Amino acid sequence: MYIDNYLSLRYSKESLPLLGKLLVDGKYQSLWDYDTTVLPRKVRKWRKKAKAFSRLYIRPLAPVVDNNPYDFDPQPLIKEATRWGFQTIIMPFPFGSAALMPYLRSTTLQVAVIAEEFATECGGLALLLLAHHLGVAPLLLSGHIPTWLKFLLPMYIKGAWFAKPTTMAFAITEPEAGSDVEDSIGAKDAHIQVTATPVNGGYLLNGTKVFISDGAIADQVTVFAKIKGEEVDSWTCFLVKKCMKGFSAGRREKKMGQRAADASELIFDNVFVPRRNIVGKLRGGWALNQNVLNYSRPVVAAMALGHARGAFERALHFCNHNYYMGKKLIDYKEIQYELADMLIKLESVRMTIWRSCAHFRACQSLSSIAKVYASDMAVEICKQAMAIMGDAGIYHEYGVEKALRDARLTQIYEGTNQINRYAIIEHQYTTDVAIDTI
Amino acid sequence: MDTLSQATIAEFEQLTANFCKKSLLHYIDEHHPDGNFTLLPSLVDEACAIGIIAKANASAPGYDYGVWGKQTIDSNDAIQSSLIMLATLAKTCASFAFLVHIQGIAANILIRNNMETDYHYPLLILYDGLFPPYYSLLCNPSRIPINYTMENNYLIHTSMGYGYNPQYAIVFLPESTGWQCIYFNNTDTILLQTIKTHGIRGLTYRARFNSKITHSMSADTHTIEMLLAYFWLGLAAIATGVAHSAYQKAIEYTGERYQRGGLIKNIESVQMLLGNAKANIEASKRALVTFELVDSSAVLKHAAQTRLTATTLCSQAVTDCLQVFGGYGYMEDFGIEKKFRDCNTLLSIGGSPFFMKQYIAQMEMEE
Repeated sequence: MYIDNYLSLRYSKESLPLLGKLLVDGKYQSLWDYDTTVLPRKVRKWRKKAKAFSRLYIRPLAPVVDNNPYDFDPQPLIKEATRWGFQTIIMPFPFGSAALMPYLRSTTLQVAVIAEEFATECGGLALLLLAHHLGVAPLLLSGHIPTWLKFLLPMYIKGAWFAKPTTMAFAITEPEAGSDVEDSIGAKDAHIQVTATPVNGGYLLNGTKVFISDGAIADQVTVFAKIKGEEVDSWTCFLVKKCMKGFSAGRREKKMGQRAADASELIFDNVFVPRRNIVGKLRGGWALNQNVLNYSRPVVAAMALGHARGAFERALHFCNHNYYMGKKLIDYKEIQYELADMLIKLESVRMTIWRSCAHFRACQSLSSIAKVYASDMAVEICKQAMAIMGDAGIYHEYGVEKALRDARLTQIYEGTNQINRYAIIEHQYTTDVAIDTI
Repeated sequence: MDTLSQATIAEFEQLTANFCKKSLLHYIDEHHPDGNFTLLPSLVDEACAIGIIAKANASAPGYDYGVWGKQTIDSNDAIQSSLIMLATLAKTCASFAFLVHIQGIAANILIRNNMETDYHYPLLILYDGLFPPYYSLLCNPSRIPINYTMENNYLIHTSMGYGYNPQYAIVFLPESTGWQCIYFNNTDTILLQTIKTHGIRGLTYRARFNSKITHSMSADTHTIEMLLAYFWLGLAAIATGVAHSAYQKAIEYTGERYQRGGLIKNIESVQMLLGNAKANIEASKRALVTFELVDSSAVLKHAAQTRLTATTLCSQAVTDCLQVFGGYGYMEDFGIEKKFRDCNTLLSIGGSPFFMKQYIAQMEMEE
């Protein structure tokens, strides 16, 4: 369709003088490659590595696990991801594998970049690997060096040197408190039921958490509980180990998408947690929770972007390999128009996410903007991909409908998109939003 | 042409609602979020016996006024009645409504050709090359590339079709002289492979024919157009029913779920979602109600517009309703995720919005 003729970009460049040739771009390379070049060198390396990993290990597993998630053993994949350094990327050396210099400019960019690559191949397996970082984040944000030395250092050494992964999960959601614990306005009246009762040497945890990603497979869980007799401002983060007496995983939810990662109920029945397992300060849980969400939302946005990119790539492959009336689908102008529209959205989402990651500290409003925009666009792009494929769009075998199922969850978790809109205004209320322009 | 009063149409709606309440409700349970297929034969028998499903048999209760029964050929009222029955069924289960819809279309084809059958379960194949359904191809099927062979009254062909455990098959094929409609009353020689789909699961097959043709009849463009129009309208009606029930569920949920110290029905963002869903559903219903039989080419354009509007709006409505449930909406237990999948499937099946828009534009250009 597009012939590389004398009017094309490449050849028209040849007629320019030397300096002109240097100033114009005559290359034909993918947008993925263009985007990669704007990243810091070490992050570029992680992006390429994540792409290679996801093609090698995630792609073949994706359809199998989506069809039958309950017989899937995630440990080999987690072990491999740990060996490649992905499970410790939330911190730089000596606590993790993240590259130091880019990390000092942006704590979340490296995780966001690998999240997109993983989620392009499979939403469920991406969540399985990335939910671990959510569990680790309270340890990091506690800012307590002894905590880092006690928990993060051994985790990194075990993983990096002995390829023995420690999987973590993050437990805030409760049956009666979903959105409430992700929003500072709702939290005041939240019906929080998991309580910590002070006893000699520590606390007894009681109650139930629900929808906990990786809850059933995690070795350690960062659990948030209020002190008995007090309100949500007493929320405290506790590190609970799988082996602790009274702690168990209950029902595993049957989800529409992202099925490879479990969403489990966690039951705390008089679980004794020693005082040394408090993460951060006593009654410092709410601040940790809010900031963990601010850190994780750009990553969820990157996952949404990955789902959408996966749908786009599969639809593109379909259009390149299927004919209609003797002509490849890709050669129809209307298909090209739709594909271009999807690419515009993909690029704008990626730029929004990378922009939101361009700070050392996660910014609440930018994180929420990225999350809401990326997840809404992802659902739209997946629907567009299904639409250009016609009936084939709804077949499991092409994987596009799976991308839609996966993407739909990104509009819900890490605070629904409605809650995130409140978070944007809450953060900006006394600054830009309130500027008197008259 | 018989006409139906509004009261009679309401009676059909009530009949269908009673069937849903008494029998169809048990078809979906926590172990079978997409329907318990072992119950399907008895449900189909019952729906045939009370006249919801049309059958190509003059003595069958649904022959005249079942979904796409004989009267729908030239009566607007009968079409409205079919649409209402489909929407009512879809409030309980979109898959069952889709099956009734497919059976109705198959029966309608046979009735139009003065054929009778006692069989229940058809396999309906609308030739793959017809999709996207460009208008020029509908009128000139000779332009469609042929991917079947027909010799000595045998058909060798692979295609995608809709149905459930089919007992007979109806296949539309393009020929140099026009459309041909082929009927098989023996499906033993058809290899069927279920295709896993996003929603409306278990009713889509890849069928491989190496079969003797029972009967062959030519189908004029008008017939094909009418059948496509029924097909699209039915999808719109089912989507409207699905969205309506999703909305009802969401409303119930907002009266039970507490967040922010009160029921979520008092939260502004939840009200916005529900308001948007309600407006979309009402617009979709109105699009269906205003459908009228006019001259043949305009019928298909009108049906395409109705389908595009209704399925797009309903898909948005269901996604809004799912959002009201938060994390619970994403789990199979509440049944909302199924409605989301079903509605998105109805949006794409047999001509996605992308192709519908082009089709409508082409029809406009023709005029």
